[in-house]
Amino acid sequence: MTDAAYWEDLELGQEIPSHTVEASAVAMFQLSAVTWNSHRIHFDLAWAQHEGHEERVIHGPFQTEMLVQMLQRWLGTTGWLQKISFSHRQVAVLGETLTGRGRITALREEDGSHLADLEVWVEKGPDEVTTPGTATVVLPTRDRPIQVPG
Amino acid sequence: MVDDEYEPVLNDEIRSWVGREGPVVTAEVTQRDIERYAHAVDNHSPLFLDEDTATASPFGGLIAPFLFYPIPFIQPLRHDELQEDGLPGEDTELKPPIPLPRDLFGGQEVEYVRPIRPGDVLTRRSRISSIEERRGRSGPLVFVETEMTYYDTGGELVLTVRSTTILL
Repeated sequence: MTDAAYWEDLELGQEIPSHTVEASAVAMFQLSAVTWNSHRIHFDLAWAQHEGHEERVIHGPFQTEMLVQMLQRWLGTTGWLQKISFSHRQVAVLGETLTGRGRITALREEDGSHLADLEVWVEKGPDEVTTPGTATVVLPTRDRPIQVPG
Repeated sequence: MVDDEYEPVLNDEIRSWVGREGPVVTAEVTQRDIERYAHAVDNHSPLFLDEDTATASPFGGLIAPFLFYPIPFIQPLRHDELQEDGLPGEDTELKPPIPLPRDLFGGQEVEYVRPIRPGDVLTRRSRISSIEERRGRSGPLVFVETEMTYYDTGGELVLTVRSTTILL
C-alpha cells in the first residue's frame, strides 16, 4: 500500500500518480464476461475490422475502471472515491497503451468532510484524450480519518 | 442553414417522456459477485477482498468496487435475443420516439451517498430526467438524460447514475 494521501498536503494543480495499462485480450474478455457483454467488437477481430476498426475495441468501462483504479491507488484504504463523471470521446483498440491521469482542481470542506475535486482523463498519447472526466474524493487529514456514511 | 428553415425535432409528445419511469428492479449484493468482478477487472483492494483489513479501515467492513453497481442487476439474455453483432436488441422501455438516425454515448455521472456493501439488497429505479435539443452545425442534436437511483431496504438513497445519450 502506498502512503496515504492527506488533504492538507495537497495543492491545487497537483497531479496524482498516473496509471498506465496495456490492455490484453484476456483482460478484455474477462470484462466482457463479468458484465455479460457479448458485443463482438471487443473479442472478435474479424468483426471489429468489419465495423471499421483496426483491432478489437477496448470497452468504455475498461477505461472508466482505469480512472477508478488510479484514484483508488492514490487514496489507499483511507480515502473514498465519492463521485466520477466521464464521457468516451475517442475509440482505443487493443495494442494501444492507455494512461490515466488526474489533477486537483479544488480543495474544499463540506459538512466536516475534506474533499478534493479532480480533472481526470485517459489518454492514448499526448493530446489524444479518449476519456475525459471529473472526480470528487473524500480524504483524511493528519488528525482525522474520513467518516464513511452508512 | 438559415434560421427560419430550422425545424425543431422535439414536440410535446416527445417532451412528455420526461419523468417516465422504467421497471423497478431489486437485487442482492453478494460477496461472490464482488470477488468475481474484482478479479475480472484486476482490482484487488483489500477493501473488497480482505475482511480484516476492511474492518480496521475507516470503512469498517467490506465494500463493493466503485463500478460494481450494475453487476447484480444483469439480466442474462437468450442467444436469440442478441443481434448479429452480439448486442441485445433495442430496449424500447425508456426510449422516446425521437426521429433521428444515430445515437452516441454522451457520458455518465456516478455519485455515491454511501458505499455498497455485501449483503445489501438494492432497489433500482430509472426515469428519463431530461430531454433537450440543441442546434448543431450539421443539424439538430437531442440530449436524453436517464437517471437511475439505487435505494437500500431502509429506503435510503445509496447512489445515483445519470447517463446521457446524444441523438443526431
